[in-house]
Amino acid sequence: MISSYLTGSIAQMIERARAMTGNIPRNLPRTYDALAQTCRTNINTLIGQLKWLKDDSVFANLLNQPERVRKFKRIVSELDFLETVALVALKKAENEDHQLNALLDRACREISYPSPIPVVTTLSQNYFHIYPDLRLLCVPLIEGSFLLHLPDLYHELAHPLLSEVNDPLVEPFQKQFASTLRECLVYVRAEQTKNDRRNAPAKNRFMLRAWESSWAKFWLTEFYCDLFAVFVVGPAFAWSHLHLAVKRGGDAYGLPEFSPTSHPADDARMRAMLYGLELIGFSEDGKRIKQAWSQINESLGTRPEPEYSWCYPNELLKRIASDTLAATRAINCQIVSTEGSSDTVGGCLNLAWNKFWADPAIFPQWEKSEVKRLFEFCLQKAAHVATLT
Amino acid sequence: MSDSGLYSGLYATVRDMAELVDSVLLTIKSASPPASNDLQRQRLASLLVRLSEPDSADLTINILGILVRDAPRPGFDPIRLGQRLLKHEFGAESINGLEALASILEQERVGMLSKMGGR
Repeated sequence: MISSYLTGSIAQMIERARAMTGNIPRNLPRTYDALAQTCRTNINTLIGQLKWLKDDSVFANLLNQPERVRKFKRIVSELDFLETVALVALKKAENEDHQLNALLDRACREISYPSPIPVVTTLSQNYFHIYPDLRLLCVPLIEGSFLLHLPDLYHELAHPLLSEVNDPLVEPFQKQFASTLRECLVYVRAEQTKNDRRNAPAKNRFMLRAWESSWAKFWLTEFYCDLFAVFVVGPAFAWSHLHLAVKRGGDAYGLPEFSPTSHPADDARMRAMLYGLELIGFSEDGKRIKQAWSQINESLGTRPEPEYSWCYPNELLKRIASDTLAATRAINCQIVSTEGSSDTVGGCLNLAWNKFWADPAIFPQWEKSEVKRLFEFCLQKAAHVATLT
Repeated sequence: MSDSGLYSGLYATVRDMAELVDSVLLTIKSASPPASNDLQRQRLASLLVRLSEPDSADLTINILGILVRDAPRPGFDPIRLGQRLLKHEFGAESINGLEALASILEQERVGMLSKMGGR
């Protein structure tokens, strides 16, 4: 039964995959070529795997059907993902997307980004995020009309640096990450051992395990991406974090008790960013951000639990900041200078935050004209690059 | 970054490990294992044996160690499974161990899919 079902279902999936290739638009600007080609290559690879699952004699054996089904499910997941994310981004690419792509292109060139530049789509339903294997960066629909959250683009740019394989130019970044992760896990595991020795409450054991899983699976990745953004764009990223945490964040000192969480506490992230700013000479900006952060949290009445500093000790956060700086330097990315220029994307984003704090009431008006100027500047630069290539 | 993208990076690691386990299972269940797949068996065995290293700097090993710890299966010992695979012991115990590992990885993969809101 299962064998007959798979024969039919796999054949149908092959036809569906072929139809997907037929749906890749052919009339987009060259910026989208890499994403279109990734779609084609991935679909073809998956079709090859489907044909193997359908025809190979090893699957004539009934004992091998569990492996066949699991493999089939994984292929279906990959195809669904390509169809609902990548293909949709290509089909729906419009003017707003083209503008943001020009901006990202400029930003990447300014910081000497060492990997292929991702494609931006404005189809995000969930704030900023990136799919590293597709190099597809998703932002909310009208984010391109505003400046204060755009520093988050730099955070997203760091994710592919951690997942790229077989690229000697980014391997130093990944090696440094692995070494920092080891330090984080050594710390949590040592705390687990101490905790077991002193017969502490069972709750602590579960909590430490949740911290260990969180560090290994997610937290360090987020800290590295935050700090990369701080080092290449500067204080604007820390301000952007404050902006996001106040508008959309939960408890700034939240701790996982039983299950791992995907993001570290907003306050721990901010502390790491402040250490990072200090390392690259932005101490004065750091002080202003720290003061604003403390005042906002005080006015909200949020306070850390006693275990908070146990989970995120200062020394570990400092170590993460200095390691990420070493990693960013090792891949020759341009570290932001304290002598900022507004003639760059990064400079404009820092200027936007300065303008915001200088006069929050008139900022929206200034922002409108500045967004227009910034996109014109980026589109001109993109056109210039296109004539050179 | 929202959860969708963050899980995406980890998803690739789990998917690749799941592929590796199923390929090794197919190989050792067949009557005459093809030589080319032997590299996959060695790679998987080495990953599993290295779970005993307490302070590994290898990302895949750290992730795999936490996944198998957080989803315990009765009688499943990943390090012993790795040792058996290294010694070419492909009996029922090894096959059961690999199936337990495949089930852990599949459960994790499906869980991530739902957190990514699709895929």
